[in-house]
Amino acid sequence: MTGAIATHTLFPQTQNIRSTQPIESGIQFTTTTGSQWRISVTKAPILNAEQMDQLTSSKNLQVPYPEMFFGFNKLTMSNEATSGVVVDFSAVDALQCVEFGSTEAMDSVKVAFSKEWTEKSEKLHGKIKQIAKPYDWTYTPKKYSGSVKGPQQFTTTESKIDVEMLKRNDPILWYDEVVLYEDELGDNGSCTLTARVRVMPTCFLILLRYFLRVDGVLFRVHDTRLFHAFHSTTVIRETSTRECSYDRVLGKVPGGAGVFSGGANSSGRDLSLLNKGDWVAQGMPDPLYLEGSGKGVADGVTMSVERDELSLVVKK
Amino acid sequence: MHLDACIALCYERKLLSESVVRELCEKAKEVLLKEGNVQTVAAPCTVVGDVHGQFYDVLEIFKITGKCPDVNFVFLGDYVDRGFYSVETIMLLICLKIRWPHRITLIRGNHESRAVTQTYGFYAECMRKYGSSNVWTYITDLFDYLVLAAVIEESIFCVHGGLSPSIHTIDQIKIIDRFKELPHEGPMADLVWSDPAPNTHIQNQRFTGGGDDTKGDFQISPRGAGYLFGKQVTRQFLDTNGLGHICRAHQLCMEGYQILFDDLVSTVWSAPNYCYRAGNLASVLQIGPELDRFFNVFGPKFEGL
Ligand SMILES: [Mn+2]
Repeated sequence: MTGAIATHTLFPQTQNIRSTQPIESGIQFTTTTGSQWRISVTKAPILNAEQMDQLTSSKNLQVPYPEMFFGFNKLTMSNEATSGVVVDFSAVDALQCVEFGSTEAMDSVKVAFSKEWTEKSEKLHGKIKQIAKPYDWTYTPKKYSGSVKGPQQFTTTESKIDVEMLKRNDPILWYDEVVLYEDELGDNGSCTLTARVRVMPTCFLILLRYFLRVDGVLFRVHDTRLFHAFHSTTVIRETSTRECSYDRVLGKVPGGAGVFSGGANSSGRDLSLLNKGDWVAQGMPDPLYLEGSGKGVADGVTMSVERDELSLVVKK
Repeated sequence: MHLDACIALCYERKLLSESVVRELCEKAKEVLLKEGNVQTVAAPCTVVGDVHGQFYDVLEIFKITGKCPDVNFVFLGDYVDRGFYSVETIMLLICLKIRWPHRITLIRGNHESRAVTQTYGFYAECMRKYGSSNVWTYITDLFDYLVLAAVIEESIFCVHGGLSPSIHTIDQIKIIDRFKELPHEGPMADLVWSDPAPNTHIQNQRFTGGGDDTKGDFQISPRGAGYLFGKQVTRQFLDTNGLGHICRAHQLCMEGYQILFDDLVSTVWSAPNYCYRAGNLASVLQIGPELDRFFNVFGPKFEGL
């Protein structure tokens, strides 16, 4: 079992954090087996109106943009020089996977007080209709688990991420994190889509995490992990979804179990933990212990997991 | 404690003691109790959008436009949550309000609410800085007194979110019982929550079903609650009330402001680099004596870096 990074360089050497131009930074390395890698994140401010208009027409993007749409941001994993494989996690590609105009979009989750609100609205303002082009306002990037370029595609596998390798106390040669988009859902909750990466001497791990909270209703965590051990010839991808009720997570916030309430005279509670996707995810069962691909319910959380892999072997 | 001394401390971003906060909130309630739901404001004046606890950016605004009482201010709400200095920001504004009530108008935003501030940071900040929730209670009680709208020189209507299908005239806003926690529905909720119907981005698409957003009616948000207001209902509201323009906040925009519906509506956003990561610009809207509008754009001060 050999395979490790032989040489690596980080780029760029210096950068201006005040720049409004997209900045790419990352790591380039060659492994002991001669495989050449380049992993990077690209970061820029949210798009302005003109950039949004351009993108709308060039990509035929139909979903209204999330409040913070980092349209230039992406995480790129490239083994192009060796196997031709490139996998991107990009804000634009993810947004294209959000349901638009479909029945599913129309049936997307509603805010907690929607039923009561709708009844009143129908009574008082019966003429007022739903927006003409419904979209999934939670910006769930359905089935988005990276954009693959190259000679091969992912195929189903029984292999799993080697968790033991990740647990080892190896040095982290490079870590970074990039927000792709974020929306406060009109202060009815929040959603964020974030990609992060860590590169260690013998493997790397990429995580794309979509986190959703709809106040008083539910939590959702969708993860895509890409893992590659340098001694192997495949990139393993594990895609998981988890969903549970709002109250299940609320019960874990220090200060005791409680019900969502915001009435006057309430003494208040610190619910800011509910904004932290990582904290919420940690309080859910880990779907990666599920075998193979499948669905399940554990401890009040509905889960699914799918596993596939991408070969890095060059076909002659 | 003397008010001017409080103001001086606030400008230095010093925390006022719990008992002083309580006293000031009581004093501010007395001032606000006398104000109607819709304040009348004289031009020239400066309209400020969401600031969300970004204290140093509020100081920057005063640097750009001049301070209270030299300048007439209309703040459109969302003073707290998100930023690092919600307490310091709202206390500075409260002190200015008590000291020069006719020079500064504080409109209520959807974050001026007990429910919202428990999740989005203000409650946690009060606990962290004071060790108890008392200050949060004093300030959120005060939020119930903030006004709902303002009209500048009988021409520019100022509100945090936007229009409501239940409101056709300014008089209908004046009779709302505003002294309460923000409700989930009804005219008061609409004023602080609603958004203009989205841009033209998606209008030439083929999909139909439900209302027609090209006419500019009200529409129901896909969230299952809340209205979007279109161009036609905006024009109707302005005509009915003899007004020319709606100035609102509530929505982040990269350029710091956005002009919509052929200049009937503008969005002012005053929190640069929102949440310390969006990288956006901010602006304040300066309204001249002839009601000419100028968006004074400014960038982040890299607060907290
Ligand atoms: Mn707002």
